[in-house]
Amino acid sequence: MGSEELLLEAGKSSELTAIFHTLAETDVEGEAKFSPMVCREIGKLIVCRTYATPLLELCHLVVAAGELSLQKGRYEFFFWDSGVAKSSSFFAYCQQLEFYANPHRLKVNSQTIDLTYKDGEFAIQYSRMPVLSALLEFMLSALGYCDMDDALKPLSKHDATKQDVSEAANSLSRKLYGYLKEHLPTAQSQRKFRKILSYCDNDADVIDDALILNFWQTASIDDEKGVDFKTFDSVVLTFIRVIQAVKSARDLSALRHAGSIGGDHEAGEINPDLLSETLESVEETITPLVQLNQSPFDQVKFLNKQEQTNLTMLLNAGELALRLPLSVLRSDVFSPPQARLTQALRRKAKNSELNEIIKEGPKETYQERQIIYQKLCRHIEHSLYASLHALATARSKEAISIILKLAPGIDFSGLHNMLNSEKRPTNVISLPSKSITDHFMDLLHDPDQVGEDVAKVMSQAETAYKGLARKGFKEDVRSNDDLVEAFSKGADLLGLISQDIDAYLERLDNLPLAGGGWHAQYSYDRSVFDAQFSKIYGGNA
Amino acid sequence: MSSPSTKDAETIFQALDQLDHLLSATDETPQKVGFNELFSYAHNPKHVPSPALNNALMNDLSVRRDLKRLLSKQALAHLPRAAAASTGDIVEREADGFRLTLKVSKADETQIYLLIEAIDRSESPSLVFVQEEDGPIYRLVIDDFYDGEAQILLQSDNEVLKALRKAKSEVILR
Repeated sequence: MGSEELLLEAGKSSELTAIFHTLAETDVEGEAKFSPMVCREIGKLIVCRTYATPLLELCHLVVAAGELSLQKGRYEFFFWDSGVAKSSSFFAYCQQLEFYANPHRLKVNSQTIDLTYKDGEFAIQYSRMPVLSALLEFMLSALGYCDMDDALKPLSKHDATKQDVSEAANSLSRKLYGYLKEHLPTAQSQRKFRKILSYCDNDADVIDDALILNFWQTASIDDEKGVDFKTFDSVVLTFIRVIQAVKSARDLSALRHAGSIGGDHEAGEINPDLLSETLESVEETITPLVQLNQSPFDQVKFLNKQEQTNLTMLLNAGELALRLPLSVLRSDVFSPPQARLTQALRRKAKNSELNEIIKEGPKETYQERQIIYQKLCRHIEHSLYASLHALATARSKEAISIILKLAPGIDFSGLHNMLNSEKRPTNVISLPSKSITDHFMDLLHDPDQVGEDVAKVMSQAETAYKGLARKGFKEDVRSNDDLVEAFSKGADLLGLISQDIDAYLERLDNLPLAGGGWHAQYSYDRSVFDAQFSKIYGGNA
Repeated sequence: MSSPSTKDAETIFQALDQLDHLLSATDETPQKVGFNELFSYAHNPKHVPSPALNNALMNDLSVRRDLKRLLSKQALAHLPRAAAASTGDIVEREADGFRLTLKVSKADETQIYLLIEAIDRSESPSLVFVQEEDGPIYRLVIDDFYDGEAQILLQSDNEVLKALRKAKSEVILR
């Protein structure tokens, strides 16, 4: 492929990246309209081509939206005048406007809105609405409002049928297919996959840290390959994806042989739903980090932006971080200086500045990087203790599960009896006066009441809570059910993340290093990366 | 390379790689003008358009087309281009129960008042959109439509004023 074609291809796919960037940045009065998980869900629909069913749901939702509008058929208000795209916002919006809808056409229930057509019925769950809303926003950015509005026009008829909705959905599917054919080229991915497999003689099992570094040293300065493999972090991620893809393909093959999945498979044509499931399974380790940024977890600042950035490559690698420990470390340490070089190059910096950046090198050594991971582990443990205090303050029984995480084997029966498992009835005004809570917390710190072990853990929890000056740790949790949920479920996510960091640190501890220690390894790698950066960016350092 | 397992692996890799690519935006990644912003711009007088939207409204035909469609659906009043016989600058337009008049300030000739009056309508518009023929769409916010009228003071070199004076411009009140 010539360089012009490569640029053309990159330009087409960058439009899609720009649309996803816009989707992620879309806000309602400063708050993100679509959660990171919703944006990721749309990404999966697009790359796995599983958008047909969601488009059908969306078209039914457009009918409902037009029905709920004061001006019949004006579906826009439902999607752009209902606030942040959350199930609860859509539910509230539907309840508020149900009065204006034709009761023979639309019913607002607690879990769904139900549509009745002459030729059938359809129900849409509120939990699906954030994704469907984001899908419409994506479609409008990709295809334009006029084209979309024309395609949705048949749905604004007062007597639109279920068949009309299906036809509109099919029409949108065809339009999106055509758009993606143009803007989601497969050639680049195909090329990357084939080059890497060819480099390791079609055997992904031989991929290790040394092979990845060698590949980058060659490919990043290769005129033809360089476009795809310039940065070390992108090379590491690509290798990780190749290994994950090969493993997933083997798993699928084994399932087919065992007859667990359908036998109508043709080589290279995986059922889109199966492909989507495969992606979900690969993303298992990064998902907790993404989830922490969405409601209700985002009410508590468990991890700040820098802490999340520090964990991204490690969690993207998942269990492969244990197989490619040096690559993950190299990527984390040497990617920032390479990013600075790329930025400098973009603003046409002189060679002397590039040389200066290369000379300056990374901001941290391998040992310092490991200390960052250790600090993250300690911070997560600290957050778990603080969450325990918050949940105990709210008298939530979820506190028990955190105690079990922090101190497995502890006798918590004393605590168990004191926590109230029953949800507060909504029609009763609770009187959690400060003095009652203080008394309750005193009891939880009293060894005679809850036992030595629990009292000690509760004291540590209180200290941790008071020491955290982040969002969520200072609010009154007693009257905030969402905050209770954020602390209890957030603790589970933190636990998963912590396990991955612990396992990785242990792997690094036991890693046999050629030079005898981390200092020697870093010095060696530093010279390799400095030399390679000079070759790529034309510096002479 | 052609074994079924390798072909599957390639398909899975493509999806993973494309997903990484789609979600790889950094602060420096360009953005498209989203419909969310276009809707706010068309509806909400408090919405401050981003530089990207301002740029798109000047240069991007498809964004202008989308805004026009949106405005046509929700216009309180549509004051179309002036009659073909009109020559010179337009100082008054009337349609759909509203009248727009341009008047030079007595105190300062470089300042022009845009008077918006409801002749036989009870609604209060909050936004004025002016579209030049095949040109950009401008927006003015009506801060205080009181007792059936409002006035906006404009400098004589204001782009919106220039557009309002052109016979082939269209005006939408929202």
